[in-house]
Amino acid sequence: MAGILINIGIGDFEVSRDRSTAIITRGLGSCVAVCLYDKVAKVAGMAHIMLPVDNGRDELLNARFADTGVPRLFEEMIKNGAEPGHITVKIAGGARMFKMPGGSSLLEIGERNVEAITRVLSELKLKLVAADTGKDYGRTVEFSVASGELMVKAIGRSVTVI
Amino acid sequence: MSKMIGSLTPKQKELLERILKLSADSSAVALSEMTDKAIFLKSPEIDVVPLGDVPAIAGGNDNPAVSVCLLLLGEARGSILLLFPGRSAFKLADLILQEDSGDTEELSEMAVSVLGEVGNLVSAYFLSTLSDYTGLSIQPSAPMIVHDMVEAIVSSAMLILEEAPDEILYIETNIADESDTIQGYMMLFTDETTLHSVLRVIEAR
Repeated sequence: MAGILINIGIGDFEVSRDRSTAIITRGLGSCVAVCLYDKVAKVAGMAHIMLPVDNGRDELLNARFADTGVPRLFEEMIKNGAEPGHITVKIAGGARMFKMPGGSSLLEIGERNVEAITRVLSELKLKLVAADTGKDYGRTVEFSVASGELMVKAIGRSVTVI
Repeated sequence: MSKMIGSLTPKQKELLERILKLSADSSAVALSEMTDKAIFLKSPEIDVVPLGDVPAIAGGNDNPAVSVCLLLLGEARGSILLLFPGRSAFKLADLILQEDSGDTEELSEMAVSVLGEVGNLVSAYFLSTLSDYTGLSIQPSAPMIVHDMVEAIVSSAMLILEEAPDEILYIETNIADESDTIQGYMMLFTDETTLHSVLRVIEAR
């Protein structure tokens, strides 16, 4: 897709205005990639969210938790010249990787991540325009700064763009 | 678990390694009986790694791996994850089934069942040895087999408790017979309460 890849690790976030770049995060399971885009200013940002709620030990100021990480990513977008009214959001990930006969609520963390993110987005009045979430497989995502397209790859499946 | 793991005392580390060595030996005997071959498990090594380094374990991020995950039930919270990178799990299933799966990329139903049994066996020996040492009653759940990206598997197993540790404890071992070595990792994800009670009891011995 793009030439230069900005790699985001688990619980991290990054914003870019460089149109030759794409932001990438690999191997999302129950984690969710939250991707913000201002198509007018061409500013893109991605957060690799791990869990719904800050456990009170979030001294690193990263994006591990939906309730603190998504607002942090949003602020960074604004600092980089994005207009709140121009920002659209795409999300991917939140799979249920492990299945057990009879089920276990412990295994539904992906669903809870997606719910928490959706809630935070609506509090921030941000518009979710596309999502590839849930199911039972891992995803690698690549977010183009030039186009705002989000490419989703999974093992043994064809690549999709949302 | 987080910071307290980094401060494992030499005695705690030694005792954990002894428990692991004993359970690895018992697992090797059971696997040898199952396959009618001499199976060895390399002495497990304990390491503590920062969260950010987890993806690099077992070949890293979106490379494929097969895992067996079991939840801890009883007097502990957490999960045990056995991770076989690349084709290791296929080799292990072939070794036990005494077959050659060739280049197949899909796990057969038989292979899934065999890997589940390996997970049951290894975790049962580990948890019963741990129980012998600590008096804590901990049982594994039924095994869950997943064939997917390394990081998707590891991060999801780690986050089952809805806690984000700064560091994780992982155990590396190899399974080998006379002719071949199979790379495998065992990871233990637990909360601070469980780890505290385990360490407190073994420290008091």
